[in-house]
Amino acid sequence: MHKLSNFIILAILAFGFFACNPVEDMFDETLLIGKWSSGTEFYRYDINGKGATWDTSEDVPEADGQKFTWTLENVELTHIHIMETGGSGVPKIYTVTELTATSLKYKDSFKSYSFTRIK
Amino acid sequence: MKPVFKITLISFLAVVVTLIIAISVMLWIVFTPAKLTPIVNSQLKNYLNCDAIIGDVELTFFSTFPEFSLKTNSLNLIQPLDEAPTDTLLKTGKIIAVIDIKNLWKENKLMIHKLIFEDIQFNGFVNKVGNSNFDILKTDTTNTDTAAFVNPFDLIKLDKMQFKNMDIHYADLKSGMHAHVLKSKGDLSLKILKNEIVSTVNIKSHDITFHMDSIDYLKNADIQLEMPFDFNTATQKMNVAETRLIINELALSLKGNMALNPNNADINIDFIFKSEKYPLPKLLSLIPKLYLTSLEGTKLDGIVSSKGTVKGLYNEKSMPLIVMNVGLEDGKFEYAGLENKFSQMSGDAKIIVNLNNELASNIFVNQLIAQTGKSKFEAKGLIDYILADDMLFDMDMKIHAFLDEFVSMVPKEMDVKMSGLAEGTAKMKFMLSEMMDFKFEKIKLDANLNATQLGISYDTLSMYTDNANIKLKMPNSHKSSTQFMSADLRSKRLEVCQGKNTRANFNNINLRSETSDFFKTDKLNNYLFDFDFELLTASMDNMHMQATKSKANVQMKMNFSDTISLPAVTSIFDIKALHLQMDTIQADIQSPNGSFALRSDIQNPTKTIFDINYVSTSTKGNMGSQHIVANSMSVLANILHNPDEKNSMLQWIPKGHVAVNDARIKMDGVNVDIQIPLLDFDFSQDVYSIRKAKVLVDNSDFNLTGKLWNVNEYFRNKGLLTGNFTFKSNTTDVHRLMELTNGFGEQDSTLKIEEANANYKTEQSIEKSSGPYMVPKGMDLKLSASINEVLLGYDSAQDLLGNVYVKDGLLVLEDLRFKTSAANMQLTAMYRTPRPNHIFIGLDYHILDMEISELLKMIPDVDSIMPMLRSFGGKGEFHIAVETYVDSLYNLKKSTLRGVSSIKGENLVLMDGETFSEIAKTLRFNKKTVNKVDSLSAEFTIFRNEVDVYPFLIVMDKYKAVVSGRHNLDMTFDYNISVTDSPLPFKLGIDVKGTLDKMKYSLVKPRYANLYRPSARREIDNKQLEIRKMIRDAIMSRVIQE
Repeated sequence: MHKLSNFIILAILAFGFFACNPVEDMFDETLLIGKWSSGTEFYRYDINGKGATWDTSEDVPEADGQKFTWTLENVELTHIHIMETGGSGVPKIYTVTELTATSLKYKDSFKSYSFTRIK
Repeated sequence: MKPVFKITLISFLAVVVTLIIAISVMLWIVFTPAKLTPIVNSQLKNYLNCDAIIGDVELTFFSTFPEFSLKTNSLNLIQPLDEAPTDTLLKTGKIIAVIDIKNLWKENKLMIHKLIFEDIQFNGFVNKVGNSNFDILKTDTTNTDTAAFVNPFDLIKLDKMQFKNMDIHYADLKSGMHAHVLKSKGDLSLKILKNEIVSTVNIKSHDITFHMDSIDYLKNADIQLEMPFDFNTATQKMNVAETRLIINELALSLKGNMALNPNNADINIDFIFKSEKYPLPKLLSLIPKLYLTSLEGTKLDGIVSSKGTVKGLYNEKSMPLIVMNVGLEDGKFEYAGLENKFSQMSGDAKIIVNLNNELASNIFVNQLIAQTGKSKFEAKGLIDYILADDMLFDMDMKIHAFLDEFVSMVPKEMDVKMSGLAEGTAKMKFMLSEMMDFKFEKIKLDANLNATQLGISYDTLSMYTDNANIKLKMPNSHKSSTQFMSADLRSKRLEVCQGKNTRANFNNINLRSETSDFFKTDKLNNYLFDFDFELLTASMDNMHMQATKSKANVQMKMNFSDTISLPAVTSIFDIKALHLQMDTIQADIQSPNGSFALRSDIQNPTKTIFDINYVSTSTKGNMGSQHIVANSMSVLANILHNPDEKNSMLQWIPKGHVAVNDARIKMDGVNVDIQIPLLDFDFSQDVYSIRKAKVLVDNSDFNLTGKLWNVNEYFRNKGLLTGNFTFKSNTTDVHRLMELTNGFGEQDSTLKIEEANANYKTEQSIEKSSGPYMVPKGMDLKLSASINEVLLGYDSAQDLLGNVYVKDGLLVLEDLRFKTSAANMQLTAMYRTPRPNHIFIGLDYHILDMEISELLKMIPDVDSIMPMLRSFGGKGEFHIAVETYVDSLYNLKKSTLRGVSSIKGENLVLMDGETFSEIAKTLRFNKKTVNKVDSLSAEFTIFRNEVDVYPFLIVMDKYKAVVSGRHNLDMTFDYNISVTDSPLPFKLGIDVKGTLDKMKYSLVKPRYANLYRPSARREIDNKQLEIRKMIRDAIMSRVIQE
């Protein structure tokens, strides 16, 4: 009986574990290609895994946009912001929560981000 | 009537009648023409060897009462001769001879009281071989002395011989002599005593022509001659007593003698003559034109008088020498090519006319005074070759000339104007043709003139002086290249102008100049100027110059017809003091001296070459509030100017060397003087090489060596201006350096920037003075720096080593290593200025062995990124690679901020900081425990305003905690502290959120409970660690290991 009760607890825990670990979504990265904006903040995802970001409120046009590389694996969107002075760049890892033809939402441990496609 | 008287009367009448009857019988019966004519004919044949045809000869009495006379109606002498135009030697009309029959009969004396010839025509002729048709007197061939004339009478006396209506034609083909005496009359008294003939000739002719060798000596002249003379047939000498000769109203008295040498027919003449005053034109009209060719184009007038001698042999080859003293009054002289007309001429001269040698005739001018306009000249000297084609003038003159009256003597194309009075002496020697043809290079001149109110202008160049002494010498005997003229000028004050805006005033100037013939504007002209002056003040437009006690030697070569080449100028100058001013620019230079040369390139005359050798002992310069002072300065340069080059910066191609000692510069924007104890550099068309440059700015000192090259390509926009310099300094103030180079080359950058900014409305034109520091474009400069001490304002750094690059708008401080009181540091920084409102700043900063508190003082911004550091004390190391863009006011553009950082420390003391005090309180730290952090190793990333702190482990007291979170630049944060080891039986986590002023804590599930337990790590834990490692490896790879 004691073994049984342990098993039940284990099963419940296992169930609970799996129940609390939902199956990850898959997003089509082709939907990401293009320009996205959030207010004056812009991101452009190019087809080759490269991109650029700029903020027109600080007099930074697209031509002066800063480059980054991106990957989208399942729901994990990784930006590596390239530094002109070299080095490994600045990594930023997000979890995509919505990616449609017109909307992009992702979040990290601290904040959620929402973008609208502009082109 | 008384009978006595009656008888007497009858007797007398009877005698008279008887005599009349007797004479009548004798005249008409005894001495009839029929009887006399044959007698005369036969006698003529005895004396003449030519045919003589004489008319009826008759004896007259009544018509010549009371004398008997012989009379014939005509006499023809016929003497044919080859080549003679006629065979008639003499043809006369009536000939009457009144003869003293009594003396002839009783005394054997032929006394002719009167001999009259009427209508005479004489044709004398000598053919080419010398035979004449007038050698008609027969000679006794038996007598050995065939030439001697035998007088058969004891006395031959001719009281009066008259010629009426006489025409004489004489031609001598052998000597080329032709003479015509027409419409003449004359009378002659003659007395012949054995060998002596005494005669007086009185001739009047209105038409005498005489020419020889095609030269007209007389032409249709009106001549009167009254000449008493005697002639000795034995000695063949004729003495002429006081004779009066009038030729064309020109009266001349003469006397003398002439003797014929029977052996060679030479005539030795010795006459003296004296003329009355007569008009010069009439005198000149008597001189054959052949001898007046040198006066062609001239117009002479005046009253002349003369006296002189005619001496010497006359034969076919020789003419006697004429020497005369001539006086001139009220003379005038004009020349067709000369606008000046001379008048009121007077003087006297000795004239020697040598018709045998045209080069031996001359005039010694004892005095000649002439006036033209207001100008007066007085001359004496020699005028030689007066009968030749050209005359030589060798004159000493006194001059009183108003120069404006002689402007016409200068070729009009030279556009020369003169004014003022020149007084002095001059020696001139020239051929008349040289003067008339303006061949001034042939003229010899030695003049010493004092000029007052002298003004001379040439084209736009002019000069003026109140008083000057001028010495002219032509030719100049010093140098062959400038042998045309030397001119010395001394003046207490001389003003020179070019155009309206260029003016120079010389005080106490001594100018010595030499020149080649500047009238030959198509030839290369040489000029030498050697001058010194007490003071020169000059201005050109808004430029002013003042030079004191200066001397210079200038050589100039130029061709007026060459409109392409510039004059070739070489000069040596030595100035005691020089002051220059233009607008707000002033310069005072002591003892500038050296040389300056300018010439056109031989291959391409449009190019100009400058050679400069300059030395000065002291220079002071001001430009507005900026100034420069230098003790000594030297420049040795060769500069080529190529106007064909389109790029204006490349039109000047310099090469040379500059050295400056003890210079001090005050510049706008720099509050302290820049001192240059030593500057020594070479420069060429493409390379500037600094041998030594020592600069002191405030408390900074710089020693700079190196090279700058590729200048040509830079200015052609085809390449980068490249430089490699070594910079050494004991002390350097970085901020001063930035200020010194701020804005350098910004104009070009601005243009390109403005192009880049054209699309942005927010960008307006950027003012140079208010804009940010713009890195020069088009440059690739490297500066290897070695600085013992760098003053950073807030701190100082020692032993700085590294390189500074400026490359096409990018400023890089590469691997600068230095030591501060806080740490050893290594810095690589980038500063790029694509446009003024978008400036890139990148830092790769490594601080080793650092006091953390000093770090926060040194870089306060670190506190914004990682405020928790305030709570730590002790040493650690800090690495950060961060980059961002700023606007023109250097405000951070947070959206462009990127960075990674790593911090590591051992045995850090936890300060009584705000954050950890709260944490310690919450976690119930043991207050007795030394608040020491055993180790700290954390990595951060910075993106925009987000600072992500990757999980790191802190071990303290009895706690181990993993800290992670995000700190925003707005000073909000969200941290999670996962307590992995604690006295508690469970693991817990604390979220710390909010701001420092308003923090919120909450217990949560620990986020990284097993981060440092490899066996229990989650995938996410591994990823976090990988990122940390990637950041640290990348950032540490840039640290240069000593």
